[in-house]
Amino acid sequence: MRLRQKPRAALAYLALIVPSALILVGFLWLFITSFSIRTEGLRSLGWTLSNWSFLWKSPFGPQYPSIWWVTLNTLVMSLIMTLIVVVVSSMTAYALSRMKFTGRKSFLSLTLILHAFPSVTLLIPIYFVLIWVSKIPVIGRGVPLLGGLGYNTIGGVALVMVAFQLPFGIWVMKGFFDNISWDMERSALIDGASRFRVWWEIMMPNIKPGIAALSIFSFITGWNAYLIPLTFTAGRAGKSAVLSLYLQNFISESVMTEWNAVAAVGLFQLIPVVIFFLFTQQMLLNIYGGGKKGGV
Amino acid sequence: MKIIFKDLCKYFGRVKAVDNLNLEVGDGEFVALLGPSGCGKTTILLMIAGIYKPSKGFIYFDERVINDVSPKDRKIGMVFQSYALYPHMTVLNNIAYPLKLKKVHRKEIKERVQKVADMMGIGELLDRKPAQLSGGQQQRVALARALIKEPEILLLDEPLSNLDARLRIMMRSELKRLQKDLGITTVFVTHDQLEALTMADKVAVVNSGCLQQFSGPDELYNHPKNLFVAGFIGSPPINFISVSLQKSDGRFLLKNRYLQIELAKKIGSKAENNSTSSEILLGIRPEHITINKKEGIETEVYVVEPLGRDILVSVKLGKSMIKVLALPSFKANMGDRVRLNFNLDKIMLFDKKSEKSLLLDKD
Ligand SMILES: Nc1ncnc2c1ncn2[C@@H]1O[C@H](COP(=O)(O)OP(=O)(O)OP(=O)(O)O)[C@@H](O)[C@H]1O
Ligand SMILES: [Mg+2]
Repeated sequence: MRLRQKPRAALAYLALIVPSALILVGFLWLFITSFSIRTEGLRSLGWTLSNWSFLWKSPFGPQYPSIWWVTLNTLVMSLIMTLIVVVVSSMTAYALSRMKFTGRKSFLSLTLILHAFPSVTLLIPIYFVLIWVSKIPVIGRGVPLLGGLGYNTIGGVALVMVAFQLPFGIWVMKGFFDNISWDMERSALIDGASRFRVWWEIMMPNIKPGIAALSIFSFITGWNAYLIPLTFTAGRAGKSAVLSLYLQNFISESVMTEWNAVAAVGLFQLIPVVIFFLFTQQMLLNIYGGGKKGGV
Repeated sequence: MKIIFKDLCKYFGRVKAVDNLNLEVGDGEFVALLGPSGCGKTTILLMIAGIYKPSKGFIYFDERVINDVSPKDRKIGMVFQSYALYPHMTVLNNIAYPLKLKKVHRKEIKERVQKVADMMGIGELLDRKPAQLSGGQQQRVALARALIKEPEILLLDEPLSNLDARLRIMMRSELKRLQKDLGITTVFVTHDQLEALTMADKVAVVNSGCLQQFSGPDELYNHPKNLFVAGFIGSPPINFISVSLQKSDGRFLLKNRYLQIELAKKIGSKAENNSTSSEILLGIRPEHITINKKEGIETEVYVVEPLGRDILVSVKLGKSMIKVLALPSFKANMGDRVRLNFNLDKIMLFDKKSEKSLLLDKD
């Protein structure tokens, strides 16, 4: 058995190492470039910190938001989106998984269609909706930090992101709910729990891996989002800019694109995601390991 | 509390899981629902619990129709076949959960959990998670959780089927004792006839959603109402022999090519009155046949299987096989000629078409 397993393991490693190496080289280039004046391939032609100067002074002048403001925007947007996606998906998915009601089947297929739907085609109608929402006082554009829920606000962008993310979230969570035994839930109902308590106290703790996976996935999607923030904010110079838009400043505004600065900002955007991933990787793996045993 | 089913039906689409069930479970009674897999036992239990709504008919608790009462208002404790413990909670919290939902004071919860846990012999396991328990311990935790709110009805869905043979026999007597001590009306689901016959006051035999017979274990064993019950109850199973019922000179005879039995007048005339044709089925349990070498119906030994306490002899009568329980002292080899005597007090007669017993008083 050993003899047969060894070459197999070696093959598996090889299959993993080759693509990983390619990706790693890309990251390596990003890292070296961000600290260099110029590079030739992976070779630095002189080291510098000046590419990172965006951290303490805005490279485009004071009318542009600072990197920290933009980072805060991105963080708020991603967190809000994650929170809403997780809460709404898990409640919807619970109902879809466990309850009988008219329209359940069509609702399910509709979410699947929405998931596969090319969302770009919806951008213009949504634009009009957001413009309309902006006209509502206070919630349109008067909330601190969020801005509000209308056009050119962090909240508005988050809301649209949520809408696009929900079909996926619902399907993922439904899968997790489907895997929990009915008996456990029935038992809780007989014990005297309300539907809501069953969901919160019995079901949710048992799909923690699913919640973790969806949270991580949503957060990263929010953090990296580009198209939706671009469409629904006044653009990279605006108060509601997020990191991906900030990055765009470098590419089109300058006469000559400063690739070294782009690399630095790109790396800056990447760091939180990498750290986040390192800590949550185990949880993501949990999903495939099926962390349940006994008792169920 | 009494449970009464009146014309109860449950359909899942086109499947009739429960079909026109009429049954009364008396206060404090221990009733077993017995039947083959998929016959609707769990469905009946879940209707009592309020998880499923009846498609038709009514369930009464005492005089009250409870069709539309929600599960939490039914004062029910239930143990599921899979135990359905909450894997993320400790044993303590599992058992305490029903009380927590009732907003019982924390100190009282603690005391009551400890009491029930000690009664179940799991007092030392309260800090563990369900995954860290053996099957038997999980079962006790599930039972403790069902009992802690002092339910008026206890529902048990095959609670012993996941245990090993020894533990199962032990738990059988313990459960019976517990039920008698607490006096809770209990409905117990099983597909193991021995479990049903040994534990329950009354047994309801169910087949494909229909109640076949509802009576005490003795009655069930000795006076089955139909072919299904006769064949389902008893191990080794009952023998059925095709015979014709004939009357000559006021004597009643059961006859086929290989045997001829004279029936008592009372039995014979009852069978004649009840039957629609003279071709009927004779049922006789293996332990109600004696085997010897001198007199009786002539047969040939087919195979001999020692069962420990007695031996099971299969003999050939024409083309059909008859099983006989004989004393261990009985010695026979394959192919030996032996003779059988039927205990005439114990024979059963069934109509071939309606499959009903012919020895019941007409009602
Ligand atoms: N939720 C459901 N939807 C559709 N059909 C169902 C459902 N629950 C049960 N059934 C069907 O109803 C019938 C009775 O099922 P039930 O679970 O009551 O059987 P059971 O007697 O408990 O069997 P077992 O001994 O295997 O547990 C079966 O044919 C089953 O397929
Ligand atoms: Mg069942």
